[in-house]
Amino acid sequence: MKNSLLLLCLFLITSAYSQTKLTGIVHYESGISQQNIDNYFSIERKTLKNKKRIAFMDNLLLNSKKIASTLQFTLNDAIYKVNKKLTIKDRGDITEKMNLIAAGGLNKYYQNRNKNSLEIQNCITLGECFIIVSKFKKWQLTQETKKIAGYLCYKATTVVKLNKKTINITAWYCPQIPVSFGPKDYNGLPGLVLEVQNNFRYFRATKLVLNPKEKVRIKKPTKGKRVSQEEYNKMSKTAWSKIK
Amino acid sequence: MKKIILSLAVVFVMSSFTTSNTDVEKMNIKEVISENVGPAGDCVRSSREKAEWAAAVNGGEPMDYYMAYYIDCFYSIQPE
Repeated sequence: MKNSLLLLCLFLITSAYSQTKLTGIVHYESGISQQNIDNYFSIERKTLKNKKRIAFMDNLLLNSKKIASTLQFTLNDAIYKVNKKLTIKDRGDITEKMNLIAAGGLNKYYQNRNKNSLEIQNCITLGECFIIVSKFKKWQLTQETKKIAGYLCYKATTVVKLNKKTINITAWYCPQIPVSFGPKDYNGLPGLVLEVQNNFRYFRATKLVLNPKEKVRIKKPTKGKRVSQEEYNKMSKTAWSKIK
Repeated sequence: MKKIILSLAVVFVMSSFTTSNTDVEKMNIKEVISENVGPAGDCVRSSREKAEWAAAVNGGEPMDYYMAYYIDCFYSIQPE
């Protein structure tokens, strides 16, 4: 009996210790979702009349490349960034630029577990740096499972409204890795997000390194005026209305 | 003497290159939205349209994509 109790204590202490030390690096790839491509070619394309727009959309959907990005995390916070630093002001393939922007662009996505918050540093869109602060998303958890890279993942869903459009999001998270982080702004689940799909794009983990040899250091972005998501949306709308 | 002239030439070429780059680097949304006439104005209008289409395909806001299209258009109208 004594031995069993001793073993149990040892196990609890070890697991608690390993959790406080948990760090990791996740490599993701992202691209336009097959659902998006299928939907465009089977339905939407037939409704379009503007030939220039059809050529533009065809090109964007058929020539889009996969974009690599990385999430670094500790138990308490994480940062997500796109790997390629092709700046918006560089000359280059415009289709690739669109994909880079959609995957997160030059933004830094800082996620904090204790505050349940996401802070996006955006220095491009409005011509100066902002730190856009919002809370983690709220999800519907399901019992549906699948294995990703050997990890048992659970399905969670949520719905977001953007410009009167409904965006359905499905995420696959792994409770075995107890951090509430994920790619871009897909976080707030009781486990690391290894795959996400919405109406437009997907993010998929291609490599996961837990407790890497090199220490994971999360540098919280500080440069920029702190605003709420609502405040930022308002400023963005005002700027857009001035572009004529 | 030859070396000095060569060094000066290199400095001159480098500085002119840096200057032309800096002009684009300084470009931001506040200046761009005021450009609504001439070729730059055409860029504003076409980039707005493309940014809307890009958002329809990729998700997000048109504003996220606008500057990339504007810069792309701006380069294309610059003399070589």
